[in-house]
Amino acid sequence: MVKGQMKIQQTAFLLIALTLFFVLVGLFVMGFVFGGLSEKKEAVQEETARLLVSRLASSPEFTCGESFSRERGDCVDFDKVMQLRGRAKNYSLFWEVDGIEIRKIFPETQCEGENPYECNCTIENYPDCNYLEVFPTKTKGTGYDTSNFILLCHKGKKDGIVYDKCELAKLIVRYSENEE
Amino acid sequence: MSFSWIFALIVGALILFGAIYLISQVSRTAEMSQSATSASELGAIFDSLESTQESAKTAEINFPLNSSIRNRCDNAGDFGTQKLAVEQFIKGEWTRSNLDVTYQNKYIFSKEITYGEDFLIFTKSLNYPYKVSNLVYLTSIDDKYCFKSPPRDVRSEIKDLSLYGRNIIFDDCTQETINICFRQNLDDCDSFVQYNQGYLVKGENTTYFENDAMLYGAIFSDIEVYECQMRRLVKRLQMLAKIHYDKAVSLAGICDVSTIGEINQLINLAQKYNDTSDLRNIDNLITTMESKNKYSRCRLW
Repeated sequence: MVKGQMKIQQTAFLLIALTLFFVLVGLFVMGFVFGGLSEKKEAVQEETARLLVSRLASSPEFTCGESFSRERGDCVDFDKVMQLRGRAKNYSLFWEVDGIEIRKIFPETQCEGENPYECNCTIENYPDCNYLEVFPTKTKGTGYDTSNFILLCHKGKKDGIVYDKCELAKLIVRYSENEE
Repeated sequence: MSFSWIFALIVGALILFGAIYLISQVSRTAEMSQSATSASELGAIFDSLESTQESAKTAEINFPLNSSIRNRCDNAGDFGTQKLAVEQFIKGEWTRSNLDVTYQNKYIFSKEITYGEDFLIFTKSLNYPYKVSNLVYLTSIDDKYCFKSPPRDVRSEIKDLSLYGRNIIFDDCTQETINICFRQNLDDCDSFVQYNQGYLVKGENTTYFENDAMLYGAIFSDIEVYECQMRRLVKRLQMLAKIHYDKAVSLAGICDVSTIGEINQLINLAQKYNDTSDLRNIDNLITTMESKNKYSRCRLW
């Protein structure tokens, strides 16, 4: 009787040990497989963001079209984007990004204030400014940003003559690491 | 049989059932994740097609298994939404996935459900009168379209997009092809297009278009999808009109924008838009705006 009970106990322990072993192997395999899925998701997000920057410059809300004599590649209409800024609420989910900014590179623009090289564009100082937050960054945390050089054009008037002014700028797209 | 043997058999059977159940759960999760990955990769392909200066472009996407792409359009909100779900035929059944990939900035014209392993995607820019969006058209290579007596513009564009001979042919129609007739008095037509008058008849439904970009949408998609996407496009048209209006007002001190009155009218017409039969009202205004902007010294677009 005691011998039988010992045998049952031995079998039970053996089965439990085997089960635990296979569960650990299974967990390891699942972690390996689904770990690849998380990296794939990030790779697709990064590729999407990179393509988005080049798409943004040619999207109707940003593009110059033919408003500046002729159609130009990677040309952003500064006059239009200043109006787009007021519609951030409508476009909050449109491009699936965390924020969009434009920073003038050349020629350098200086303005009054503490830091003459860092002036946000407002109605008062437009177009003599060098940084425009088109859509403010929603989440202040870790994330990525990608950028592309663009031609930033606007209309001006001097001595009664209307002219087109184009400057070199950077279109910066921010997106967060973790999306809901 | 001794008690230890019976005990071992029972526990062994329990462990086997548990393992089989776990494997089936993991397998189902893997299939769903594959479908979701395919749908989001499809979105990346659409992005690469749209990030181009060209007004029209073609691409092909190949899945390893027989797949279905489900196109759900919803026009609620400022821009509506475009939902895509990809399902694959695995082990004799379709993977049931509620994982839709959702976009607000894409306009995809296709059947509600498109089946196949290989799909053709092409894009065309919608300018009405300014650029509204790039439209994406999705068809399965298994769906063969035959255009009977198409106009010269359509013929040359289909050839330029390298669609001719892939899943679109001209005039050499059969019972198996989806026949699109561009002239009256033609037999065996699945759809009839009155090109100059701007309408398409599919079964008992009539839908309207004002340019080739809209025409392809009407041809390659179901009527419900076409009408929904057009409602979404008119919403975007209206939003862009408001931005252009604000721009025109801001330029008042610099130059006179000749189209400012028409833009205001366009905003109002777009607000009243219901379905494609309202496009005719908008189109007359669009033609005026195109002409005024083209010859203006202060172009708005």
